[in-house]
Amino acid sequence: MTHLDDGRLRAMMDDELSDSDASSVRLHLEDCNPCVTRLAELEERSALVARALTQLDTAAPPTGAHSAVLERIKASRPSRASRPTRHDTRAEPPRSDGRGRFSRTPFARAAMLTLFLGASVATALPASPVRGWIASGWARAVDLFSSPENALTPVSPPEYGGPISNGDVGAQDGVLPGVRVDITGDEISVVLRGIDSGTTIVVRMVPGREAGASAGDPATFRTAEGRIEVLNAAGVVFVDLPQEATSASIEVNGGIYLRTAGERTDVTGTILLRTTDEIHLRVP
Amino acid sequence: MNFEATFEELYPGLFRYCHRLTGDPDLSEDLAQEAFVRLYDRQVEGTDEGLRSWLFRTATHLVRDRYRIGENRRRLLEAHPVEPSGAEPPDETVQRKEEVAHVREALEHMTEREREMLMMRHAGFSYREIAEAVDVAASSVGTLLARAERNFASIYRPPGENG
Repeated sequence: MTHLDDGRLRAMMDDELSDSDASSVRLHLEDCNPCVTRLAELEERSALVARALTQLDTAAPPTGAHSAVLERIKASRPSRASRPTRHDTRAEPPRSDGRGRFSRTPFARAAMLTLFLGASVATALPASPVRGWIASGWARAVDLFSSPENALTPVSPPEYGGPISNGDVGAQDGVLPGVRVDITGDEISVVLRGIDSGTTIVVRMVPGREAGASAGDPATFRTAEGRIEVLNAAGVVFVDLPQEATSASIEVNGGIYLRTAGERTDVTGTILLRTTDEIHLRVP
Repeated sequence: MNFEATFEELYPGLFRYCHRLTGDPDLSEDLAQEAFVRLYDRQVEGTDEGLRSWLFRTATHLVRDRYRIGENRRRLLEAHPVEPSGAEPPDETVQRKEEVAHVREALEHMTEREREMLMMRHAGFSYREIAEAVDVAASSVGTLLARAERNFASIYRPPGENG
C-alpha cells in the first residue's frame, strides 16, 4: 500500500484539500493505521508549535498606534508627493465625478485604473469595513462604463501563429517555477488556460521591459515573442507586466481579465485587491 | 477604504505577527505601522481577505529587509540579555524568559521562509494566502509546513523537558 505523504496529511489536517481529495484521503485512512498514526503525530506536533508560539506573545500592541500611523502618513506626504514622475501632470487622481481619464505613469499605474468592481464582491461583504469604498467604486465604475466613450469592448488577442517553446521550469522545493520574456514590439500577451476555479492571479506592475509568470504544480509554461502561456495552474499565479509595455493583456480561460492600451488599463476580472502597483484577481 | 476600521481590526494581529517573527516590540511596532502607512500611501483597496493578506505580506517583506540573520541575533541578545547580577528578578520572569529563549532558539534553526510560513499558518492564514506571501506553490504549502514543524520540534524542548 502506498502511504500518504506528510504534505497531504497536513493539508487534510488543515482542511485545505478539495472535497474529492479529502474523501479519498479519508478512505485511505480507514484502512491504513500507519497513516492514521502519522496524522496524529502531525496534529500533536502542530499543537506543540502553537503552544510554543504563544510563549512569544510577551508584548501587547502599543496604545496610540493609530495616531502614530496618521502622524507618519502626514509626515511622509510632502516628500512622497513631490517624488518626480515622468508624467506628473497626468498623474492627478480621477475627478470627483468619476469620469477622469486615467493616465499611465511608471509609478502609479493603478491611479489610472478603470476599475470594474464586481457587484458580487460588495454583496459578499455585508459587514466589511471596505464595503463603503467598494460600493462607491462600483457606482463609479458603472457610471464610467455606461459612458459610450469609455465602454470596454472585450476583444480577444489574436491567436499567435509563430513558434512556441516550452518555458523554463524546474524550480525545486516549493519555489515557484515560471518563465520570463523580454518584450519586443512593446506588446505583451499573457494567456492562462485551464485555470482552476478559485485561483488567485497576482498581477504585478514591474519596472523595465521583462514580463514573467510563475505558478506551482501542475502548471506548465510556454513562451513566444511577446507572449506567455500558463496552462493548468491552480492556487496562485503571479504575472509580472513590464511598465514599459505600451500594450498588455491577460486572458484567463478565454476571457480578457485585464488590458492596458495607450493611456488606460481596464480590469474586468473579479478584484480581490488593488494597489498602485498590484492587482489581485480571482478566477470565479 | 475605512482606514480606521481596518486599522482597528488588523493592527493587533499584525503587531503580534511581527513580534513573533522579530522578538523586538519596538521594531514590531515600527514595522506594523510602516505596513499601514504603505497601505494608505499605495491606495490599497480590496476585500477583507485581500487587505489582510497584503498587510501581512508587506510586513513579511519589511521584516526580511530590516531583520537579517546577523541583525536578528544581535537584537535577540538585546531583547533577552543575560540577567545582570544584583537585584534578582522574580522566578516567574526568569522562567518566562527562558521559555521564550527556547522557542527563539528553535526558530533560529529554521529557514526564514519556514519561520514565516509557521507564523502565518498559526495566525490563521489559508494555504493560498501563505503561498502568495512567500512565493511558493500552494500545493507545496502542506509539505513545507510539515517540514518546518518537524524542524522546530527537533530542536524545541517544552518547559519541564529542558534539563
